[in-house]
Amino acid sequence: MQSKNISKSQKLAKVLKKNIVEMIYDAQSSHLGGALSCLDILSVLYSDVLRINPKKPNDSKRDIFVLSKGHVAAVVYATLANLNFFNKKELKNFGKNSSILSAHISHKVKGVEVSTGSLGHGLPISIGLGIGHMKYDNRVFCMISDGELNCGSTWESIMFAGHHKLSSIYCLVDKNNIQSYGNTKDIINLKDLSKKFQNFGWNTFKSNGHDHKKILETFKLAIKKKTGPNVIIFETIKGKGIKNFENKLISHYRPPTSNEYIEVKGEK
Amino acid sequence: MRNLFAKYLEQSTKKNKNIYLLTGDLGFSVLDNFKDKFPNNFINVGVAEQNMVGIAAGLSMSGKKVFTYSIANFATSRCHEQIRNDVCYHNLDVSIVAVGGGLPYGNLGYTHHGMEDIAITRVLPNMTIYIPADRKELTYCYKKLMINKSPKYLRLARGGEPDIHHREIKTDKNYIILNKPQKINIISSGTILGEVKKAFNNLNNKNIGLISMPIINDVTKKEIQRVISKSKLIFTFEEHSTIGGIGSFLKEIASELSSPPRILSFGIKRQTIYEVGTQEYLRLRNKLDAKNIYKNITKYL
Repeated sequence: MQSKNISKSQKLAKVLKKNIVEMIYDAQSSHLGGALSCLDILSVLYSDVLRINPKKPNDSKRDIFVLSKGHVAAVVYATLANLNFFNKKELKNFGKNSSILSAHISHKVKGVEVSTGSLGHGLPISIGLGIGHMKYDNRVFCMISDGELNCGSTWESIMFAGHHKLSSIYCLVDKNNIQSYGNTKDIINLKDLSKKFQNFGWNTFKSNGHDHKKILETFKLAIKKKTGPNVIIFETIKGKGIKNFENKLISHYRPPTSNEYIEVKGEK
Repeated sequence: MRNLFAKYLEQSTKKNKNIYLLTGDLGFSVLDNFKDKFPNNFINVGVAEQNMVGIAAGLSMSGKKVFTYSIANFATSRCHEQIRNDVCYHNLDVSIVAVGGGLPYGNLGYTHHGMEDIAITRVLPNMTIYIPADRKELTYCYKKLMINKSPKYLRLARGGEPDIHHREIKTDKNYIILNKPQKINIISSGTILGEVKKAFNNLNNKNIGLISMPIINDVTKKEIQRVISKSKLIFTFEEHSTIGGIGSFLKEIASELSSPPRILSFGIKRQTIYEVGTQEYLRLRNKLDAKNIYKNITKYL
Protein backbone atom coordinates (compact mmCIF):
# COMPACT_ATOMS: atom_id res chain seq x y z
CA MET A 1 0.00 0.00 0.00
CA GLN A 2 2.47 2.64 -1.18
CA SER A 3 1.46 6.12 -2.25
CA LYS A 4 2.21 5.29 -5.90
CA ASN A 5 -0.78 2.93 -5.73
CA ILE A 6 -3.04 5.93 -5.37
CA SER A 7 -2.33 6.74 -8.99
CA LYS A 8 -3.03 3.11 -9.89
CA SER A 9 -6.54 3.34 -8.47
CA GLN A 10 -7.07 6.76 -10.02
CA LYS A 11 -6.01 5.39 -13.37
CA LEU A 12 -8.45 2.52 -12.97
CA ALA A 13 -11.24 4.92 -11.96
CA LYS A 14 -10.79 6.91 -15.16
CA VAL A 15 -11.05 3.78 -17.29
CA LEU A 16 -14.03 2.48 -15.31
CA LYS A 17 -15.95 5.71 -15.82
CA LYS A 18 -15.55 5.45 -19.59
CA ASN A 19 -16.38 1.73 -19.52
CA ILE A 20 -19.60 2.02 -17.55
CA VAL A 21 -20.90 5.06 -19.40
CA GLU A 22 -20.36 3.15 -22.66
CA MET A 23 -21.94 -0.05 -21.29
CA ILE A 24 -25.01 1.71 -19.93
CA TYR A 25 -25.35 3.92 -23.01
CA ASP A 26 -25.04 0.92 -25.34
CA ALA A 27 -27.56 -1.18 -23.41
CA GLN A 28 -29.80 1.87 -22.80
CA SER A 29 -29.77 0.68 -19.21
CA SER A 30 -30.01 2.55 -15.89
CA HIS A 31 -28.44 3.03 -12.43
CA LEU A 32 -25.48 5.07 -13.68
CA GLY A 33 -25.84 7.47 -10.73
CA GLY A 34 -25.25 4.82 -8.07
CA ALA A 35 -22.41 3.31 -10.10
CA LEU A 36 -20.62 6.65 -10.29
CA SER A 37 -21.08 7.23 -6.57
CA CYS A 38 -19.17 4.05 -5.61
CA LEU A 39 -16.71 3.93 -8.52
CA ASP A 40 -13.82 5.56 -6.62
CA ILE A 41 -14.31 3.34 -3.55
CA LEU A 42 -14.28 0.20 -5.72
CA SER A 43 -11.22 1.43 -7.64
CA VAL A 44 -9.25 1.70 -4.41
CA LEU A 45 -10.71 -1.52 -2.99
CA TYR A 46 -9.76 -3.59 -6.03
CA SER A 47 -6.42 -1.84 -6.67
CA ASP A 48 -5.01 -1.67 -3.17
CA VAL A 49 -7.03 -3.63 -0.64
CA LEU A 50 -8.52 -6.91 -1.87
CA ARG A 51 -6.24 -9.93 -1.83
CA ILE A 52 -7.52 -11.62 -4.98
CA ASN A 53 -5.95 -13.29 -7.97
CA PRO A 54 -7.68 -13.51 -11.36
CA LYS A 55 -5.74 -16.71 -12.05
CA LYS A 56 -7.10 -18.30 -8.87
CA PRO A 57 -10.58 -16.81 -8.42
CA ASN A 58 -11.56 -19.54 -5.93
CA ASP A 59 -8.39 -19.45 -3.85
CA SER A 60 -9.37 -20.45 -0.32
CA LYS A 61 -7.23 -17.64 1.13
CA ARG A 62 -8.79 -14.87 -0.96
CA ASP A 63 -10.70 -11.83 0.26
CA ILE A 64 -14.33 -11.70 -0.77
CA PHE A 65 -16.27 -8.75 -2.11
CA VAL A 66 -20.07 -8.78 -2.11
CA LEU A 67 -21.95 -6.03 -3.94
CA SER A 68 -25.23 -5.83 -2.06
CA LYS A 69 -26.39 -2.85 -4.14
CA GLY A 70 -26.52 -5.21 -7.09
CA HIS A 71 -27.98 -2.64 -9.48
CA VAL A 72 -24.55 -1.14 -10.11
CA ALA A 73 -23.18 -4.39 -11.53
CA ALA A 74 -21.66 -2.51 -14.49
CA VAL A 75 -18.92 -1.00 -12.37
CA VAL A 76 -17.92 -4.37 -10.87
CA TYR A 77 -17.96 -6.12 -14.26
CA ALA A 78 -15.78 -3.36 -15.71
CA THR A 79 -13.40 -3.62 -12.75
CA LEU A 80 -13.09 -7.39 -13.06
CA ALA A 81 -12.52 -7.16 -16.81
CA ASN A 82 -9.79 -4.56 -16.28
CA LEU A 83 -8.16 -6.89 -13.73
CA ASN A 84 -8.23 -9.70 -16.33
CA PHE A 85 -10.84 -11.92 -14.69
CA PHE A 86 -12.39 -12.08 -18.14
CA ASN A 87 -11.90 -10.53 -21.56
CA LYS A 88 -12.70 -6.83 -21.73
CA LYS A 89 -14.50 -7.38 -25.03
CA GLU A 90 -17.22 -9.15 -23.04
CA LEU A 91 -18.28 -5.79 -21.58
CA LYS A 92 -19.87 -4.94 -24.92
CA ASN A 93 -22.50 -7.60 -24.20
CA PHE A 94 -23.65 -5.93 -20.99
CA GLY A 95 -27.43 -6.15 -20.75
CA LYS A 96 -27.75 -7.59 -24.25
CA ASN A 97 -29.79 -10.63 -25.32
CA SER A 98 -28.34 -13.96 -24.10
CA SER A 99 -25.51 -12.26 -22.19
CA ILE A 100 -24.68 -13.35 -18.63
CA LEU A 101 -23.76 -9.74 -17.84
CA SER A 102 -27.11 -8.85 -16.30
CA ALA A 103 -27.70 -5.32 -15.10
CA HIS A 104 -28.04 -6.70 -11.56
CA ILE A 105 -24.90 -8.49 -10.55
CA SER A 106 -24.59 -12.19 -11.39
CA HIS A 107 -22.35 -14.89 -9.90
CA LYS A 108 -22.24 -16.47 -13.36
CA VAL A 109 -19.66 -13.81 -14.25
CA LYS A 110 -16.08 -14.80 -13.41
CA GLY A 111 -14.84 -13.02 -10.30
CA VAL A 112 -18.31 -12.23 -8.98
CA GLU A 113 -18.93 -14.09 -5.71
CA VAL A 114 -22.63 -13.46 -5.14
CA SER A 115 -25.68 -12.47 -7.20
CA THR A 116 -27.83 -9.73 -5.74
CA GLY A 117 -30.40 -7.31 -7.03
CA SER A 118 -33.06 -7.30 -4.38
CA LEU A 119 -31.84 -5.01 -1.62
CA GLY A 120 -31.00 -6.18 1.88
CA HIS A 121 -29.55 -9.55 0.88
CA GLY A 122 -25.80 -8.90 0.68
CA LEU A 123 -24.87 -8.30 4.30
CA PRO A 124 -26.50 -11.51 5.67
CA ILE A 125 -24.75 -13.55 2.95
CA SER A 126 -21.45 -11.78 3.71
CA ILE A 127 -21.78 -12.78 7.35
CA GLY A 128 -22.28 -16.42 6.35
CA LEU A 129 -19.21 -16.14 4.11
CA GLY A 130 -17.27 -14.57 6.96
CA ILE A 131 -18.14 -17.36 9.39
CA GLY A 132 -17.55 -20.02 6.73
CA HIS A 133 -14.14 -18.67 5.73
CA MET A 134 -12.61 -18.14 9.15
CA LYS A 135 -9.88 -20.70 8.57
CA TYR A 136 -7.51 -18.41 6.63
CA ASP A 137 -8.53 -15.03 8.06
CA ASN A 138 -10.24 -14.14 4.81
CA ARG A 139 -11.84 -10.72 4.89
CA VAL A 140 -15.32 -10.06 3.56
CA PHE A 141 -16.12 -6.59 2.18
CA CYS A 142 -19.78 -5.88 1.54
CA MET A 143 -20.95 -2.70 -0.15
CA ILE A 144 -24.45 -1.53 0.70
CA SER A 145 -26.42 1.53 -0.38
CA ASP A 146 -27.99 3.99 2.00
CA GLY A 147 -31.42 3.02 0.61
CA GLU A 148 -30.68 -0.51 1.77
CA LEU A 149 -30.59 0.74 5.32
CA ASN A 150 -34.40 0.84 5.09
CA CYS A 151 -34.40 -2.97 4.94
CA GLY A 152 -35.15 -4.98 8.07
CA SER A 153 -32.86 -7.76 6.88
CA THR A 154 -29.92 -5.33 6.78
CA TRP A 155 -30.51 -4.43 10.42
CA GLU A 156 -31.00 -8.09 11.38
CA SER A 157 -27.51 -8.72 10.06
CA ILE A 158 -26.03 -5.57 11.61
CA MET A 159 -27.28 -6.69 15.02
CA PHE A 160 -26.03 -10.24 14.48
CA ALA A 161 -22.53 -9.27 13.32
CA GLY A 162 -22.18 -6.82 16.21
CA HIS A 163 -23.32 -9.36 18.78
CA HIS A 164 -20.89 -11.99 17.49
CA LYS A 165 -18.02 -9.47 17.10
CA LEU A 166 -17.27 -10.69 13.58
CA SER A 167 -13.90 -9.10 12.91
CA SER A 168 -13.62 -10.24 9.27
CA ILE A 169 -16.69 -8.26 8.19
CA TYR A 170 -16.24 -4.85 6.54
CA CYS A 171 -19.44 -3.09 5.56
CA LEU A 172 -18.94 -0.24 3.09
CA VAL A 173 -21.83 2.21 2.94
CA ASP A 174 -22.09 4.19 -0.29
CA LYS A 175 -23.93 7.10 1.32
CA ASN A 176 -25.02 9.11 -1.70
CA ASN A 177 -28.16 10.34 0.10
CA ILE A 178 -30.56 9.52 -2.74
CA GLN A 179 -32.59 6.32 -3.05
CA SER A 180 -35.02 5.04 -5.64
CA TYR A 181 -37.80 7.59 -5.24
CA GLY A 182 -36.33 10.47 -3.30
CA ASN A 183 -33.82 11.72 -0.76
CA THR A 184 -33.03 9.31 2.09
CA LYS A 185 -33.50 12.11 4.61
CA ASP A 186 -37.11 12.58 3.43
CA ILE A 187 -37.98 8.87 3.26
CA ILE A 188 -36.30 7.34 6.32
CA ASN A 189 -33.89 9.80 7.88
CA LEU A 190 -30.77 7.89 8.95
CA LYS A 191 -29.61 10.85 11.06
CA ASP A 192 -26.42 9.81 12.87
CA LEU A 193 -25.73 6.53 11.08
CA SER A 194 -22.37 5.96 12.80
CA LYS A 195 -24.00 6.07 16.19
CA LYS A 196 -26.54 3.45 15.11
CA PHE A 197 -23.79 1.05 14.02
CA GLN A 198 -21.80 1.84 17.17
CA ASN A 199 -24.76 1.01 19.36
CA PHE A 200 -24.84 -2.44 17.80
CA GLY A 201 -21.15 -3.01 18.51
CA TRP A 202 -19.47 -1.98 15.25
CA ASN A 203 -16.22 -0.06 14.79
CA THR A 204 -17.18 2.90 12.66
CA PHE A 205 -15.14 4.95 10.20
CA LYS A 206 -16.07 7.85 7.97
CA SER A 207 -14.47 8.98 4.75
CA ASN A 208 -15.00 11.06 1.69
CA GLY A 209 -15.89 8.51 -0.98
CA HIS A 210 -14.15 10.17 -3.94
CA ASP A 211 -10.74 11.21 -2.60
CA HIS A 212 -8.59 8.14 -3.27
CA LYS A 213 -5.97 9.04 -0.70
CA LYS A 214 -8.57 9.40 2.05
CA ILE A 215 -10.37 6.23 0.93
CA LEU A 216 -7.18 4.18 1.17
CA GLU A 217 -6.20 5.71 4.51
CA THR A 218 -9.58 4.80 5.94
CA PHE A 219 -9.38 1.24 4.63
CA LYS A 220 -5.96 0.93 6.29
CA LEU A 221 -7.32 2.26 9.59
CA ALA A 222 -10.24 -0.17 9.54
CA ILE A 223 -8.05 -3.15 8.69
CA LYS A 224 -5.54 -2.21 11.38
CA LYS A 225 -8.28 -2.47 13.98
CA LYS A 226 -8.21 -6.30 14.13
CA THR A 227 -11.52 -6.29 15.99
CA GLY A 228 -14.89 -5.95 14.39
CA PRO A 229 -17.23 -5.81 12.68
CA ASN A 230 -16.20 -2.65 10.87
CA VAL A 231 -18.22 -0.19 8.86
CA ILE A 232 -16.89 2.61 6.69
CA ILE A 233 -19.48 5.23 5.85
CA PHE A 234 -18.41 6.87 2.61
CA GLU A 235 -19.93 10.27 1.84
CA THR A 236 -20.46 10.18 -1.91
CA ILE A 237 -22.17 12.05 -4.72
CA LYS A 238 -24.74 10.21 -6.77
CA GLY A 239 -23.90 10.64 -10.47
CA LYS A 240 -20.38 11.95 -9.63
CA GLY A 241 -18.55 13.28 -12.65
CA ILE A 242 -21.47 13.91 -14.99
CA LYS A 243 -22.90 17.38 -14.47
CA ASN A 244 -26.53 16.59 -15.30
CA PHE A 245 -26.45 13.50 -13.07
CA GLU A 246 -24.78 14.82 -9.95
CA ASN A 247 -27.04 14.65 -6.88
CA LYS A 248 -30.08 14.07 -9.07
CA LEU A 249 -32.71 11.35 -8.71
CA ILE A 250 -32.92 11.01 -12.49
CA SER A 251 -29.38 9.52 -12.42
CA HIS A 252 -30.97 6.35 -11.02
CA TYR A 253 -33.03 5.90 -14.16
CA ARG A 254 -31.96 7.53 -17.38
CA PRO A 255 -29.07 6.34 -19.54
CA PRO A 256 -26.55 8.93 -20.65
CA THR A 257 -27.40 10.89 -23.81
CA SER A 258 -25.15 10.57 -26.87
CA ASN A 259 -23.61 13.96 -26.02
CA GLU A 260 -22.88 12.91 -22.45
CA TYR A 261 -21.43 9.66 -23.74
CA ILE A 262 -19.15 11.46 -26.23
CA GLU A 263 -18.09 13.95 -23.57
CA VAL A 264 -17.04 11.22 -21.12
CA LYS A 265 -15.33 9.27 -23.87
CA GLY A 266 -13.20 12.31 -24.68
CA GLU A 267 -12.15 12.92 -21.05
CA LYS A 268 -8.44 12.65 -20.34
CA MET B 1 -40.27 -37.19 13.75
CA ARG B 2 -38.55 -33.92 14.74
CA ASN B 3 -36.66 -35.70 17.55
CA LEU B 4 -35.52 -38.40 15.16
CA PHE B 5 -34.37 -35.73 12.71
CA ALA B 6 -32.36 -34.04 15.48
CA LYS B 7 -30.84 -37.41 16.41
CA TYR B 8 -29.85 -38.12 12.81
CA LEU B 9 -28.32 -34.68 12.44
CA GLU B 10 -26.27 -35.23 15.61
CA GLN B 11 -24.97 -38.50 14.21
CA SER B 12 -24.03 -36.86 10.90
CA THR B 13 -22.37 -33.86 12.57
CA LYS B 14 -20.27 -36.14 14.74
CA LYS B 15 -18.66 -37.38 11.53
CA ASN B 16 -18.87 -34.21 9.44
CA LYS B 17 -17.91 -30.93 11.06
CA ASN B 18 -18.95 -29.03 7.93
CA ILE B 19 -22.58 -29.33 9.00
CA TYR B 20 -24.15 -26.18 10.42
CA LEU B 21 -27.54 -25.92 12.08
CA LEU B 22 -29.11 -22.45 12.22
CA THR B 23 -32.31 -21.76 14.10
CA GLY B 24 -34.64 -18.79 14.21
CA ASP B 25 -34.89 -19.01 18.00
CA LEU B 26 -36.87 -22.26 17.97
CA GLY B 27 -36.07 -25.85 18.92
CA PHE B 28 -36.64 -25.90 22.69
CA SER B 29 -36.30 -29.53 23.87
CA VAL B 30 -35.70 -30.68 20.25
CA LEU B 31 -32.31 -29.17 19.43
CA ASP B 32 -30.93 -29.05 23.01
CA ASN B 33 -28.60 -32.01 22.54
CA PHE B 34 -27.26 -30.73 19.24
CA LYS B 35 -26.70 -27.29 20.74
CA ASP B 36 -24.78 -28.75 23.71
CA LYS B 37 -22.74 -31.28 21.75
CA PHE B 38 -21.83 -29.11 18.76
CA PRO B 39 -21.72 -25.46 19.90
CA ASN B 40 -19.42 -24.56 16.99
CA ASN B 41 -21.88 -25.94 14.46
CA PHE B 42 -24.98 -24.37 15.98
CA ILE B 43 -26.14 -20.77 15.62
CA ASN B 44 -29.30 -19.29 17.08
CA VAL B 45 -29.63 -16.25 14.80
CA GLY B 46 -32.56 -14.91 16.79
CA VAL B 47 -36.01 -14.13 15.46
CA ALA B 48 -34.58 -13.07 12.11
CA GLU B 49 -35.38 -15.58 9.41
CA GLN B 50 -34.26 -13.42 6.48
CA ASN B 51 -30.84 -13.04 8.05
CA MET B 52 -30.83 -16.75 8.92
CA VAL B 53 -31.31 -17.83 5.30
CA GLY B 54 -28.80 -15.23 4.03
CA ILE B 55 -26.19 -16.51 6.51
CA ALA B 56 -27.05 -20.09 5.51
CA ALA B 57 -26.39 -19.18 1.87
CA GLY B 58 -23.04 -17.58 2.71
CA LEU B 59 -22.00 -20.59 4.79
CA SER B 60 -22.97 -22.94 2.00
CA MET B 61 -20.97 -20.86 -0.51
CA SER B 62 -18.03 -21.52 1.83
CA GLY B 63 -18.49 -25.27 1.41
CA LYS B 64 -20.68 -26.03 4.42
CA LYS B 65 -23.77 -28.23 4.51
CA VAL B 66 -26.35 -26.02 6.17
CA PHE B 67 -29.71 -26.60 7.85
CA THR B 68 -32.11 -23.88 8.94
CA TYR B 69 -34.83 -24.68 11.45
CA SER B 70 -38.12 -22.98 12.22
CA ILE B 71 -41.91 -23.35 12.09
CA ALA B 72 -43.28 -23.84 8.55
CA ASN B 73 -44.41 -20.28 7.75
CA PHE B 74 -41.43 -18.59 9.38
CA ALA B 75 -39.08 -21.03 7.67
CA THR B 76 -40.53 -20.45 4.21
CA SER B 77 -42.89 -17.44 3.82
CA ARG B 78 -41.08 -14.96 6.03
CA CYS B 79 -37.81 -15.37 4.15
CA HIS B 80 -39.09 -16.60 0.80
CA GLU B 81 -37.05 -14.17 -1.27
CA GLN B 82 -33.84 -15.18 0.52
CA ILE B 83 -34.66 -18.83 -0.27
CA ARG B 84 -35.42 -17.85 -3.88
CA ASN B 85 -32.45 -15.58 -4.64
CA ASP B 86 -29.74 -16.55 -2.17
CA VAL B 87 -30.28 -20.32 -1.92
CA CYS B 88 -32.12 -21.55 -5.03
CA TYR B 89 -30.68 -19.21 -7.67
CA HIS B 90 -27.16 -20.03 -6.44
CA ASN B 91 -28.18 -23.73 -6.22
CA LEU B 92 -26.76 -24.19 -2.71
CA ASP B 93 -26.61 -27.08 -0.28
CA VAL B 94 -29.07 -25.60 2.20
CA SER B 95 -31.90 -27.56 3.80
CA ILE B 96 -34.83 -25.53 5.05
CA VAL B 97 -36.23 -27.66 7.88
CA ALA B 98 -39.69 -26.82 9.13
CA VAL B 99 -41.85 -28.18 11.90
CA GLY B 100 -45.58 -27.55 11.94
CA GLY B 101 -46.19 -28.55 8.33
CA GLY B 102 -49.99 -28.82 8.04
CA LEU B 103 -52.14 -28.50 11.16
CA PRO B 104 -50.18 -30.00 14.09
CA TYR B 105 -50.11 -26.59 15.83
CA GLY B 106 -53.90 -26.53 15.48
CA ASN B 107 -54.92 -24.36 18.40
CA LEU B 108 -52.17 -21.80 17.83
CA GLY B 109 -54.10 -20.40 14.90
CA TYR B 110 -53.58 -19.49 11.25
CA THR B 111 -50.12 -17.94 11.79
CA HIS B 112 -48.90 -21.41 12.79
CA HIS B 113 -50.79 -23.49 10.23
CA GLY B 114 -48.40 -24.55 7.46
CA MET B 115 -50.77 -24.72 4.54
CA GLU B 116 -49.10 -22.86 1.67
CA ASP B 117 -45.49 -23.91 2.29
CA ILE B 118 -45.40 -26.67 -0.33
CA ALA B 119 -46.89 -24.37 -2.96
CA ILE B 120 -44.34 -21.60 -2.43
CA THR B 121 -41.30 -23.88 -2.23
CA ARG B 122 -42.33 -26.23 -5.03
CA VAL B 123 -42.23 -23.40 -7.55
CA LEU B 124 -38.57 -22.53 -6.85
CA PRO B 125 -35.72 -23.63 -9.15
CA ASN B 126 -33.40 -26.49 -8.09
CA MET B 127 -35.65 -27.28 -5.10
CA THR B 128 -36.55 -30.74 -3.76
CA ILE B 129 -39.27 -31.10 -1.13
CA TYR B 130 -39.31 -33.90 1.44
CA ILE B 131 -42.61 -34.62 3.22
CA PRO B 132 -42.20 -37.73 5.35
CA ALA B 133 -45.35 -39.39 6.71
CA ASP B 134 -43.69 -41.12 9.63
CA ARG B 135 -40.31 -42.02 11.11
CA LYS B 136 -39.61 -44.72 8.52
CA GLU B 137 -40.23 -42.23 5.72
CA LEU B 138 -38.05 -39.70 7.51
CA THR B 139 -35.21 -42.22 7.59
CA TYR B 140 -35.69 -42.81 3.85
CA CYS B 141 -35.86 -39.04 3.14
CA TYR B 142 -32.88 -38.23 5.38
CA LYS B 143 -30.58 -40.59 3.49
CA LYS B 144 -31.54 -38.99 0.17
CA LEU B 145 -31.33 -35.49 1.60
CA MET B 146 -27.80 -35.98 2.89
CA ILE B 147 -26.45 -36.79 -0.57
CA ASN B 148 -28.43 -34.02 -2.30
CA LYS B 149 -26.24 -30.91 -2.68
CA SER B 150 -29.03 -28.66 -4.00
CA PRO B 151 -31.69 -26.67 -2.12
CA LYS B 152 -34.08 -28.73 -0.02
CA TYR B 153 -37.22 -28.19 2.02
CA LEU B 154 -37.86 -30.79 4.70
CA ARG B 155 -41.43 -30.53 5.95
CA LEU B 156 -41.91 -32.14 9.35
CA ALA B 157 -45.06 -32.19 11.42
CA ARG B 158 -44.49 -32.05 15.15
CA GLY B 159 -43.64 -35.13 17.16
CA GLY B 160 -45.28 -38.29 18.38
CA GLU B 161 -46.91 -39.11 15.05
CA PRO B 162 -47.94 -42.76 14.77
CA ASP B 163 -45.78 -45.13 12.75
CA ILE B 164 -47.48 -46.12 9.50
CA HIS B 165 -44.82 -48.22 7.83
CA HIS B 166 -43.60 -51.21 9.75
CA ARG B 167 -40.59 -52.06 7.67
CA GLU B 168 -37.61 -50.11 6.47
CA ILE B 169 -38.39 -48.41 3.16
CA LYS B 170 -36.35 -49.85 0.36
CA THR B 171 -36.99 -48.19 -2.96
CA ASP B 172 -34.94 -46.20 -5.44
CA LYS B 173 -38.01 -44.23 -6.43
CA ASN B 174 -39.28 -40.95 -4.99
CA TYR B 175 -42.62 -42.55 -4.12
CA ILE B 176 -43.56 -45.53 -1.97
CA ILE B 177 -46.09 -48.16 -2.98
CA LEU B 178 -48.35 -49.41 -0.18
CA ASN B 179 -50.70 -51.18 -2.61
CA LYS B 180 -49.73 -51.62 -6.23
CA PRO B 181 -50.91 -48.90 -8.66
CA GLN B 182 -54.02 -49.71 -10.72
CA LYS B 183 -56.75 -47.88 -12.68
CA ILE B 184 -57.89 -46.18 -9.49
CA ASN B 185 -55.19 -44.81 -7.19
CA ILE B 186 -54.89 -42.89 -3.97
CA ILE B 187 -51.83 -40.68 -3.60
CA SER B 188 -50.93 -38.76 -0.45
CA SER B 189 -47.96 -36.92 1.05
CA GLY B 190 -47.10 -36.39 4.70
CA THR B 191 -48.62 -37.54 7.97
CA ILE B 192 -52.17 -37.54 6.58
CA LEU B 193 -51.18 -40.94 5.20
CA GLY B 194 -52.19 -42.36 8.61
CA GLU B 195 -55.85 -41.34 8.02
CA VAL B 196 -55.69 -42.28 4.35
CA LYS B 197 -54.42 -45.75 5.20
CA LYS B 198 -57.22 -46.31 7.73
CA ALA B 199 -59.77 -45.34 5.08
CA PHE B 200 -58.05 -47.55 2.54
CA ASN B 201 -58.18 -50.54 4.90
CA ASN B 202 -61.91 -49.95 5.45
CA LEU B 203 -62.51 -49.85 1.70
CA ASN B 204 -61.21 -53.40 1.57
CA ASN B 205 -60.90 -53.05 -2.20
CA LYS B 206 -57.91 -54.72 -3.78
CA ASN B 207 -58.50 -52.85 -7.03
CA ILE B 208 -57.32 -49.52 -5.67
CA GLY B 209 -53.66 -48.54 -5.54
CA LEU B 210 -52.16 -46.65 -2.58
CA ILE B 211 -49.05 -44.52 -2.93
CA SER B 212 -47.18 -42.26 -0.54
CA MET B 213 -45.23 -39.52 -2.29
CA PRO B 214 -42.75 -38.02 0.20
CA ILE B 215 -40.33 -36.48 -2.31
CA ILE B 216 -41.30 -33.80 -4.82
CA ASN B 217 -38.98 -32.70 -7.60
CA ASP B 218 -38.44 -33.12 -11.35
CA VAL B 219 -37.42 -36.77 -10.92
CA THR B 220 -40.70 -37.50 -9.12
CA LYS B 221 -42.50 -35.85 -12.01
CA LYS B 222 -41.03 -38.33 -14.48
CA GLU B 223 -41.54 -41.31 -12.20
CA ILE B 224 -45.12 -40.61 -11.20
CA GLN B 225 -46.13 -39.74 -14.77
CA ARG B 226 -45.97 -43.47 -15.59
CA VAL B 227 -48.43 -44.21 -12.77
CA ILE B 228 -50.75 -41.36 -13.77
CA SER B 229 -50.78 -42.30 -17.46
CA LYS B 230 -52.19 -45.72 -16.61
CA SER B 231 -54.84 -44.38 -14.20
CA LYS B 232 -58.52 -43.53 -14.78
CA LEU B 233 -59.21 -41.97 -11.39
CA ILE B 234 -56.86 -40.55 -8.76
CA PHE B 235 -57.63 -39.26 -5.26
CA THR B 236 -55.04 -37.00 -3.62
CA PHE B 237 -54.85 -36.15 0.08
CA GLU B 238 -52.61 -33.63 1.80
CA GLU B 239 -52.55 -31.45 4.90
CA HIS B 240 -52.01 -28.35 2.78
CA SER B 241 -54.10 -26.00 0.67
CA THR B 242 -55.55 -27.74 -2.38
CA ILE B 243 -54.02 -24.85 -4.34
CA GLY B 244 -50.40 -25.47 -5.27
CA GLY B 245 -49.80 -28.63 -3.27
CA ILE B 246 -49.32 -32.23 -4.34
CA GLY B 247 -52.79 -32.41 -5.90
CA SER B 248 -51.85 -29.48 -8.13
CA PHE B 249 -48.48 -31.12 -8.85
CA LEU B 250 -50.20 -34.27 -10.13
CA LYS B 251 -52.78 -32.27 -12.11
CA GLU B 252 -50.00 -30.34 -13.85
CA ILE B 253 -48.39 -33.63 -14.86
CA ALA B 254 -51.70 -35.18 -15.95
CA SER B 255 -52.58 -32.17 -18.11
CA GLU B 256 -49.66 -33.05 -20.39
CA LEU B 257 -51.14 -36.50 -21.15
CA SER B 258 -53.32 -37.25 -24.17
CA SER B 259 -55.98 -38.98 -22.06
CA PRO B 260 -55.48 -37.81 -18.49
CA PRO B 261 -57.24 -39.44 -15.54
CA ARG B 262 -59.76 -37.57 -13.41
CA ILE B 263 -57.94 -36.23 -10.33
CA LEU B 264 -59.88 -35.32 -7.18
CA SER B 265 -57.83 -33.37 -4.63
CA PHE B 266 -58.60 -33.05 -0.94
CA GLY B 267 -56.79 -30.72 1.44
CA ILE B 268 -57.26 -27.75 3.76
CA LYS B 269 -60.19 -25.54 2.84
CA ARG B 270 -59.83 -21.80 2.99
CA GLN B 271 -63.17 -21.47 4.81
CA THR B 272 -61.68 -23.09 7.90
CA ILE B 273 -58.72 -20.77 8.42
CA TYR B 274 -60.32 -18.87 11.31
CA GLU B 275 -60.96 -22.08 13.26
CA VAL B 276 -58.66 -23.52 15.88
CA GLY B 277 -58.56 -26.79 17.76
CA THR B 278 -56.61 -29.98 17.91
CA GLN B 279 -55.08 -31.37 14.74
CA GLU B 280 -57.67 -34.15 14.93
CA TYR B 281 -60.51 -31.60 15.11
CA LEU B 282 -59.18 -29.52 12.23
CA ARG B 283 -58.71 -32.61 10.10
CA LEU B 284 -62.36 -33.45 10.76
CA ARG B 285 -63.44 -29.89 9.83
CA ASN B 286 -61.52 -30.25 6.56
CA LYS B 287 -62.89 -33.75 5.96
CA LEU B 288 -59.37 -35.11 6.17
CA ASP B 289 -60.18 -37.74 8.83
CA ALA B 290 -60.35 -41.44 7.96
CA LYS B 291 -64.19 -41.54 7.95
CA ASN B 292 -64.60 -38.59 5.61
CA ILE B 293 -61.77 -39.78 3.38
CA TYR B 294 -63.59 -43.13 3.12
CA LYS B 295 -66.88 -41.36 2.32
CA ASN B 296 -65.31 -39.14 -0.31
CA ILE B 297 -63.65 -42.04 -2.07
CA THR B 298 -66.73 -44.28 -2.10
CA LYS B 299 -68.80 -41.37 -3.46
CA TYR B 300 -66.79 -41.42 -6.69
CA LEU B 301 -66.16 -45.13 -7.10
